[in-house]
Amino acid sequence: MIDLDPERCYEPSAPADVPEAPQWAAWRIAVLSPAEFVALGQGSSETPSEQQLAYLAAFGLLAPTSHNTVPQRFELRPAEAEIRVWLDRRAVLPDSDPSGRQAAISCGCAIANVELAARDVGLDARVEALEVAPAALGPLEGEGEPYVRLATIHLARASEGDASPGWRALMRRRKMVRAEFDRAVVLSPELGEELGAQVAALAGLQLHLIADAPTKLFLGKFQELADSTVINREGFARELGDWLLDNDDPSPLGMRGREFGLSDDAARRFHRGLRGELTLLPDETAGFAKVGNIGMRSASAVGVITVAKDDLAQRLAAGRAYQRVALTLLRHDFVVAMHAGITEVTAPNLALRGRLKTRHRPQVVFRMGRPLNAEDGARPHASRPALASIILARRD
Amino acid sequence: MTDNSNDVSPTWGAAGTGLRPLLLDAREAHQTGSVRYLDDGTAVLRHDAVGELSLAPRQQVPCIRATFDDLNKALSRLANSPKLADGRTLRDLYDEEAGRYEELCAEAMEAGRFEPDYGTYVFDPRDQVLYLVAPEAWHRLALVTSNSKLLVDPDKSLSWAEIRVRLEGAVVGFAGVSVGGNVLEGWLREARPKQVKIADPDWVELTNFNRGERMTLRHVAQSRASRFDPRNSYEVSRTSKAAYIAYESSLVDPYTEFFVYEEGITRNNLDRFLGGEPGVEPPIDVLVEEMDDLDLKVSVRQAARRHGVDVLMMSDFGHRVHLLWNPYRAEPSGRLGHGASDEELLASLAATKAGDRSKFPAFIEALCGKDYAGDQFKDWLEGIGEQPTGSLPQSGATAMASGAIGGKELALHVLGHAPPRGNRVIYDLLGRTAKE
Repeated sequence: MIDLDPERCYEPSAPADVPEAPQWAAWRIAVLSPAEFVALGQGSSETPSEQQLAYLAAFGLLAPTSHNTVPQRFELRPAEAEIRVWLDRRAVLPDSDPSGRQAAISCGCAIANVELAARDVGLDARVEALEVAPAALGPLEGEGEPYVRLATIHLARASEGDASPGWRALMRRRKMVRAEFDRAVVLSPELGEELGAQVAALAGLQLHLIADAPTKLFLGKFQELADSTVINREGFARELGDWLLDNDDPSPLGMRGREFGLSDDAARRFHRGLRGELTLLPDETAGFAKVGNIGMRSASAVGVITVAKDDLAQRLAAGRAYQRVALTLLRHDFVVAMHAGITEVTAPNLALRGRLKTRHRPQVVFRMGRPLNAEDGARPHASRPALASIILARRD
Repeated sequence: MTDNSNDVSPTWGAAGTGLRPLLLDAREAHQTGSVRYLDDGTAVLRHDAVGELSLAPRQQVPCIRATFDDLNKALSRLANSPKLADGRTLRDLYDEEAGRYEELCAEAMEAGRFEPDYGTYVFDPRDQVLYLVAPEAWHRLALVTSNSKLLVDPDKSLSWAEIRVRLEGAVVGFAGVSVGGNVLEGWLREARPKQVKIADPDWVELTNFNRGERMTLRHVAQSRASRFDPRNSYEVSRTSKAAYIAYESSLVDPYTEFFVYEEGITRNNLDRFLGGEPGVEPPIDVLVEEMDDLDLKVSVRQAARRHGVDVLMMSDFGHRVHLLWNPYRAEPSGRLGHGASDEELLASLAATKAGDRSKFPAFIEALCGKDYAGDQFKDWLEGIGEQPTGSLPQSGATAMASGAIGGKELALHVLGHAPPRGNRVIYDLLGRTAKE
């Protein structure tokens, strides 16, 4: 079982939005200096050590994932100076993600974190996506092989490059902020251009930034439509209920109601209601869907990452692009919230293509802004499992 | 060839684009060539906003003759025709103006022209129709003639003309135009004001039609031309509620100036909506608040209290119409709600926003008063029985009654009538009663 030395690699204390319990320990990962990172290595060896790779994987663990299912798995291969990224199909959601698209995008986010953490400590990271048949990415049925290899991150000592903006510190701060944003906050054109360039650097991808009120309204309405559609589907609602947890739930996975701004009572009610254990009133579920609408309309801008091809490579790329954009935005004090419903429900997705005047598929939809109420930005982080639980033993 | 330009705008926009009509003085339009006629009756409209458009005779609707005919029938010839400032009667003025129009028509016909230099061209960019309407005073007079002098001030001291000045000059802002659209319609019919402000961030939905004034199939979705891919049936452009209602109302009175907030009321534009902007738009005298955003319902009241703007809300709960005033002009430190202190209202809002459905009734009660829930609406609120809708149930006729009562109430308010006792009346359409 591989794990990191807590003395060397984790901070003894944490910010106020990181609860004390072990399920939040991942957020206390230390931002090691280059020298401290080297000290995790194997003396003068050219290849990184297992500890160094585990340290990078610890940042991969901080990436956002669909429903906080944490489907990414890392196989550390120091001898080859690479980290192999695997998907655990047991973590793919059968009802809301039958094609495994959201899980693959989530893994893309994790890859981005490893890439950027590597850059932070003076390594180059090259991502090689594998060709995997779409059918192999869906939820695991029966007793089959749960792991599918998605990509390899090749690491090498960096040549001289740009100074890192401190990606790891940003990763520790980043969280979904599913709150109403301050409409008065404007995204500067320069920052918009920087984000667009980051996304366009990955083949087949494009970022659409939407800041005009009519299109934000359109997106808000379609997000509401998408959320209403899925909440009214029994299977999906039950699945959402399984992952939308009570505020005091000890699970290292899933989303607590407080991350959506729900009180303890409301979180309990939605958790049980969506699971079918009590009857939610129609206006309660409608209200739940409405929140996304209001959120969209309040955003400084809504970002849509489109892909030319809905294959594994571009799913991973979309996740990588999203995460880099989210961290860049955080550097400028913008927070984000992702809206997967609009990408996974066919009708809004096709409608969005028309609105964006593109034939490419909207793959990631997210809104950016600053919370209208500061306390919403201070909601606790999501929990995470132990690093050791997502690191696979060598697979050959 | 398929028009795939995707440039059909369902928004209010600049005059002559989107849904906002373009008005051109007929005399000036003829002189500058903005409107000219070809021998076959085609009208050619040339303007920066629209380019050059050929409009066949079927796209032209000359309304002036009909307006004068209708006024002729309606305006009293008797001694009690309203007296104007110069001592002449309304009927005298009409006879003079109608005579002048007759002369201009005769001259134009003799010269072989299609229209005299008279009235205003109104180009409807959505339907591509060119209307020719009577000058503002006559067109608007026809719209209020039948109202006669039913509306009077409390002392009954104002003349018909003075009452018209009061009603025309009042600026009412409508935040939310679903039920608010009914109240707007009531106000427009009753007062025919010169300026109105409208805010609603939503778009028209077919499920709004049970209560939406002047909603028709034309507003459910935009034409196929608005699609990026004409075959993509998922791509449906919708119409802004604020824009559609301004459009439909402007086809009744194109002279009304509409200030349309398609983004709805936000914290950023709230002060402009209430207080106006010098040289750009007027402040409002009364706010009609009909939004469904709970947060905004409270913050607009806070802002209205700050600005000293009276707030009217017509709440249609089941079969009941609740008339609720916040008369902040007379009561500058009046409460936000009718059923609780401000602190209690804000606490119930916070609890509701945290997703606690059980606190929602407490919020409505704090805002609207203790006995707000009755009849089948109470059943809905308590989750009793069948519930086909996830949104607040709304009866079409109750909404319509809200509009009628609200329109009348606004006119009375503008003419100086005090709000009802307790600032609140409940009209029970099921029980056929009303109580303060």
